[in-house]
Amino acid sequence: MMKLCIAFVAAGLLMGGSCRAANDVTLESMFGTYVGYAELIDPDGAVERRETDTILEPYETGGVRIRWINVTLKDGRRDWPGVVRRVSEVGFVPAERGEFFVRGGDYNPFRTKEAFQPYHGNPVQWAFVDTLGLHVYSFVIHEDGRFELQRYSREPDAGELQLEFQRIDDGDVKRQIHGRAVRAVSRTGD
Amino acid sequence: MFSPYTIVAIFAAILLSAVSARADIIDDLEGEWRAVFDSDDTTNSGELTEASLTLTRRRNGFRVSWTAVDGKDRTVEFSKVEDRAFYAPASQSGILSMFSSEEQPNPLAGQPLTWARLGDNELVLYNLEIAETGAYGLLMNTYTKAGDGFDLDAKLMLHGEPEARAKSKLQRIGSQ
Repeated sequence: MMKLCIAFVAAGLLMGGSCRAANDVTLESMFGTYVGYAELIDPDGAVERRETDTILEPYETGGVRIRWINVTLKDGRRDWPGVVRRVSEVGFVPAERGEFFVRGGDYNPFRTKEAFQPYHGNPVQWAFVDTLGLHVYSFVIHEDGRFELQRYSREPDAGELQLEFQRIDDGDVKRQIHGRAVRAVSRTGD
Repeated sequence: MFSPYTIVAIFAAILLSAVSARADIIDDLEGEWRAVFDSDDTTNSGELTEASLTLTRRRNGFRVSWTAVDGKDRTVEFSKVEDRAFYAPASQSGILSMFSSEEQPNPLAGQPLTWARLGDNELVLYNLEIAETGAYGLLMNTYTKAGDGFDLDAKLMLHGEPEARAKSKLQRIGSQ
């Protein structure tokens, strides 16, 4: 399988498609609210457990907004001093090239008035949907020339959403988070 | 004040210092090199059996031709990036004030993002490309000084695939 991928690369068809098994995933089919757990695994083997809420919803024209809340448990408990709650949000719009998405708002490197400067610390951020799910990438070159690449994949699987985060520092995997979530009924009010 | 001999000595010291500062990994790597891989040296790297490296120092950087794990040879003239401790391709115009904002490549627009980093004992070459599908490929060749020669560690990171990797020793095939 990998030899086939390499052959594609050598033939100039770099990254022309996934070499993995196909599913029937569309962005629209993934929209919804999900609740679940994730575990951060440090290189030394330490495990940190967190609760996670993820909301995938339409954004601008043809885009996707991802909102998520992570609650890092303290001593395995949510109701314990030291618990940490993080709220994050990012929106992506269709790129002017290809089948992927780029950050919306002020970031969009195709539309910004400021020139895009990846050699001077501007992150390269994009997302795409393949046969397995939604993948979000953030890449940056640091001042010393070392790079950092983050990937957050959300992949539907038998009614659940598999969550996977990976951070690569200059070629080495430094952080991984694995988790799963289920679709929740989202209501407002009491 | 200073005698003419003293002034000459000061200039000579400054000149020697400048020459000494230039001596780095680029001097050691200048020339033509070749690495041969057998099956024990490679992981997921297809039919790759050998790689070459040709490096020449330039006034503001260096020119390098290198073989990556994808089997392709790339030739790049690198110059130092302003306010950064790494190198990027010199502008097509050859103007030294390169890397003005409009000249920097955008991998999201299909332009390869290439750069190089020098360490005390290593040269690392990088190339990031993003396909129209959104999948990425990141090539990374690390040349590390080992005795009188160099070790090559070449990687290809792809979305959703195991890392492709090839390791070997570089053999010099040309003079400096």
